[in-house]
Parts: sequence; structure tokens; C-alpha cells
Amino acid sequence: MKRKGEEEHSGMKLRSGKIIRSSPRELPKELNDELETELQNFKKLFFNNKKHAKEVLKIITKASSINSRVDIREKIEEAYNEDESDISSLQGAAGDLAWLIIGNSSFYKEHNIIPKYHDLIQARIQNFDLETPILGEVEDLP
Amino acid sequence: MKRKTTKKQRNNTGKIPKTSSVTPLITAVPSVESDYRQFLNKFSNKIINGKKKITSQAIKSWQEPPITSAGQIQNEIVSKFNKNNKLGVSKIGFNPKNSESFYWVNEDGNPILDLVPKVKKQLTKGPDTSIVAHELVHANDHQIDHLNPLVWKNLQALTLATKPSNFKTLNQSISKIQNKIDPTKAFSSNYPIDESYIKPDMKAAKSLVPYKIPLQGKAPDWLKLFNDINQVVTSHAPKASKQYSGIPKTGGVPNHWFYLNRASEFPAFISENLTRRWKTNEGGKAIALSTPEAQFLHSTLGNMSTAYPAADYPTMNRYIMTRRGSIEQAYPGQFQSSVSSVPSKSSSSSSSSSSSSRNKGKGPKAPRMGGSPLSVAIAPSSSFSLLSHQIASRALPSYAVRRSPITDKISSPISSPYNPSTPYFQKPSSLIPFGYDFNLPGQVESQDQHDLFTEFESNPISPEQLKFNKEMGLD
Repeated sequence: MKRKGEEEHSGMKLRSGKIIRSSPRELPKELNDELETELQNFKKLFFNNKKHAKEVLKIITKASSINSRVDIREKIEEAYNEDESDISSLQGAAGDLAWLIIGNSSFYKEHNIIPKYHDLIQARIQNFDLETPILGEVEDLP
Repeated sequence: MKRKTTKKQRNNTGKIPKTSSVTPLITAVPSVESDYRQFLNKFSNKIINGKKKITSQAIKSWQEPPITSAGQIQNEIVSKFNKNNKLGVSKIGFNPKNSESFYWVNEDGNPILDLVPKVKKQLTKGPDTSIVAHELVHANDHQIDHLNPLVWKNLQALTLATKPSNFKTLNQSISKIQNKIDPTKAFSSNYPIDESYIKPDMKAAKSLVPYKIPLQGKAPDWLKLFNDINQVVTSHAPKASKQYSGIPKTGGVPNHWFYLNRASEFPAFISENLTRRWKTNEGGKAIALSTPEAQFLHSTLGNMSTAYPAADYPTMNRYIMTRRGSIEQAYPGQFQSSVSSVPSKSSSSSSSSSSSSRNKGKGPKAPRMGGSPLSVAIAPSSSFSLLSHQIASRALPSYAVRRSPITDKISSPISSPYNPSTPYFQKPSSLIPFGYDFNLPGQVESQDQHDLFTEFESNPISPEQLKFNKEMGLD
């Protein structure tokens, strides 16, 4: 049985018969929606520290394994005082994105999607707009 | 009973040194020749696995664990390995091409630690010390402590208490605990305990006999399933008396999945996060731990404190005990406190004359052993004793100053994360089934079961204990 996303890619056939599959061009809808939700959640939680949010996103885009949890934790702990912030929610939001990009989020299993969208997700995160205020949020006064 | 190790913490006058808010951050500093570096030196120029060797030169330039409690815990884990290595690691690799560090067992039964540099392709940065410590919890687990078989037993008790109707429900419960331990969710995203993991592994473990998940009506028969798992885990577990070559070569299953994977991750991830804030219960029922889930965690922490006793691993044990204390505080009446100064009330049972707090008036009780006030109620068959928990909470490390777990800066009692008012485990009253009986209706508690959530008798509190409680904000 084909999994979601499988049918949308063609491959280049070599003379040896080996097929090199081209990269997927777009995310499946469920994954697209999930990524958008996670990004918005991230933006909302890190709203008061955009500079730091950018640094955390940079770590996430470079994540290659769950070892990245160490860098994520350290970066968040560097900027947030745990007495003032629910630091675990920040870590959770960053983790959700990181595991989505490295492909081991439980989301993939739940939705029967093959995790092969690293580059697309990476590009989305790199280009994510952190600047535009979220509707209903109030900017910090200078 | 006196332990040689508790003397370590006494000064020349035989008194336990006073703690001071200005002491001793210095005692938490890893030495120049730290256990971590000693560990690495053992393997320098001896590497077989991978193309790159760990050279003495590289080790010299590697970073020590940070000068924090977290760093000291890492060093203590490595120290345990250095002192006790019998089966833990036979080969170590350092391969910049891998993306992740692994502790694993090859087909010959050799346990291997594959490390990656902290910064990709930069060997001289060394491996991340917290990752090394994480992997060495597995190694320590693998050799003598039998910690993860106990975690399996705790998981069994969890299924008996919560009676999940399927693996999805079980995994939801386990994920909740995993997320509590590691808020980044790296733990839950990688280590689901589900049918797709258990079934093939049981099949492999039982060699050629196909394994079918036993059912009780439509739901899995958790008792039978976990008994089967425990049987596989213990029968394949390496014995401390055997060296590497002694591990049975059973088609690549010297228990390398059940024993090392999943269950062993609980103590490994817990050790990583001991000094960190755990996820609060904000969000209500969805993420708040139920009493049996909290008991799983409490029990696993208890096993860890036995594996890492205070006398030898003071920082780690102190944080374990404090974490246990915070659970007890958040679920009043559900635990017989290991650190609380309030003696708990034992309830009587018609099926047993002994006492245990966990059953609170309904279920059978654990027998009480021994006459010492430090005796604990634990099954005679268990190789573990919770005695060290008691000793741990009395043995006050000389540097037991209050510090923020994140910054390691000395902080006020109010800002301490271990203040009992801190809602790590806000009591979700709707989730706490008072008088909960862990046994199925009509079922008599088995010997195994009563190893699980057995709590110990409360004891008269010593002045040192009271002081410790006060220091940790637990009084």
C-alpha cells in the first residue's frame, strides 16, 4: 500500500536501473498544517524575545538528531529565567519543531506519512516570519 | 547499620559539616583530572571502531563538564562507570560522520559506545558531556544495577493500575511521563512503548516462536505481557560476574533492545534532567500525572537512588531525593515520604498485617522487614533495598547549598524550584483516586508486584534530616 506522499514524486532512472528519486516539491496537507500550527505556537511563546527566537530557530534548522535537545535546552535556558517563564513550554514548542524536521515526530506515524520532507521543512522554518505581530498580541512598550 | 561511606561526609570531629550559603561551589568543580577525562583516557589510542581514533592530544583539548550541579552529576555518572565497569563498554568509537551518539550491543555481544563530536566535524570539541553521561547511564545499567528490569516492573504496575484498553492508551500515559521528564519531547518522540516495538522484539527474543500479544477480552493482558517481557529481560540480562565474552550470543539478542532500549531510557533521561525544571501540570488533565503515573516516576527515582547512593554520588543522589520529595509533596497521602518530616499514617488491611502507604486501606500490604528504624518494606526477593534512600537523605553533602538548578547561582528559598509550593506536580484532585488499589479485583498482590510501589515506614526524623529538609525547602 502506498503511503501518503509517495505518489507525488517522480524519479530519474540511471542506466544501471537505479532510480534516484527527486526531492518532494510540497508538503502533504496534514504536515503543512501541523508545521504551520507549530510555527505559530513557537512565535506566540517566544514573542517577547525575537532575537532569541531566531537563534533557537537556527538551532532547530540544523538539528540532525535528538542530540539537538541539548543545544535547544541550553539556548533557551541562556535567555529565560525559569522563575519568570514556563521554560518547559518554550522547550516543548522548540522540540516539536525540531522533531518534525528530523522526522521522528510521532506525527508522522499517526498520519502514516513518510518523513522525507527535511529540506522543505527546513526552508519553511528558515523563512518563517517572526516579525509580524500575531493578531491580538501587543508589542512590548519601549 | 553504619556504612563506611557515610563517614566520608563527616569531618574530623565526627560531625556532619555545617552547610553554608557561601561554601563550596568549589567542591562541585570537576578536578583537573576528572572522572570524565579518566574515562576518555582509558580509551585513548585504543579505538577499533570507526576511522578516527581518540588521541591523547584530542582528549587534552576536550572540555570538562561545566562547573555546575549538572556537570557534577555527569562526572558522578562517569565515576560510577570508572569504578564498576565490568560489562559496560568494550569498545568506544568517535566518529564525526555519525549524527548521534549510541550505546548498543553488537552481534557478538560486545557493548559499544559510539560518540560524535559536540560540534559537527570538530573533533577537538569532544563529545557533549551530557550525552556521554546519558549513554553511560545505559552502560552502568547494563553491568550491575538491573535498573531497567525494575523500570519494566514499574511499567507493569502502571498497566495494572491504569488498565489501559490498548497500546495507544498505554503510550499516552507513558508519553505524559516522558514529557514531564524531558519537556523538549525528545524522549517521547523516540521511545514509544507500543505494540510495533514490543511484538517483533518478543518474537526475536523468543527466537523462532512467533509471539502473540496475549489478550484479556479485547484489551491486552498486561499482567501476562509484562511478565513475559520481564522474563525475557531478566533471562537475557548480562550478569555482573561475566565479562564481555560471557554474554550469550543469541542471534543478536543479548537483550539489546528490551534491556538497553526503552526502559533504560527512563533513568538516562531522568539523569539528564535532574537539575532542570520539569514540565508543570499547567494544562490540566491532559498533562498532569495521575497518581499511578507519579508513582511510577517516584519508584523509578527510588531505584536510581539505590543505584547511585549518596555516599558515592552525592550530587546526583541529592537531586534524585529532592525530586522524589517534590512528588511526595504534590501527592499528599499517596506516598510515605522519604524526606518529609511528617510521619505518615499506615492503614490496616484485612489481607495483611504489614503496612504500606500505597494501598491506603484497600489492597494487600507489603511485609515489613527487620527491626531497624531504617528498615524498609520491600520484598525479600528483591536485590534492591531502599535503605540507601534513607541514608541518602541523611547524608548531607558539604556543598549542599541551595542553588538554582539552571544557573547554579545561589538563590533564595522562595526562588528554589524545590520549594514545595512549586507546582511540578500540581495535585489534580480529579485524577487522584483515593484508596486506589493497584491490584485487579480479587487479585492478591504477587511478590513481584509488591516490589514495585512499595513504600517504606516513616522513621523518627534526625536533626540532620530536618536540616536537609529545610535546606531543600521540603519541611
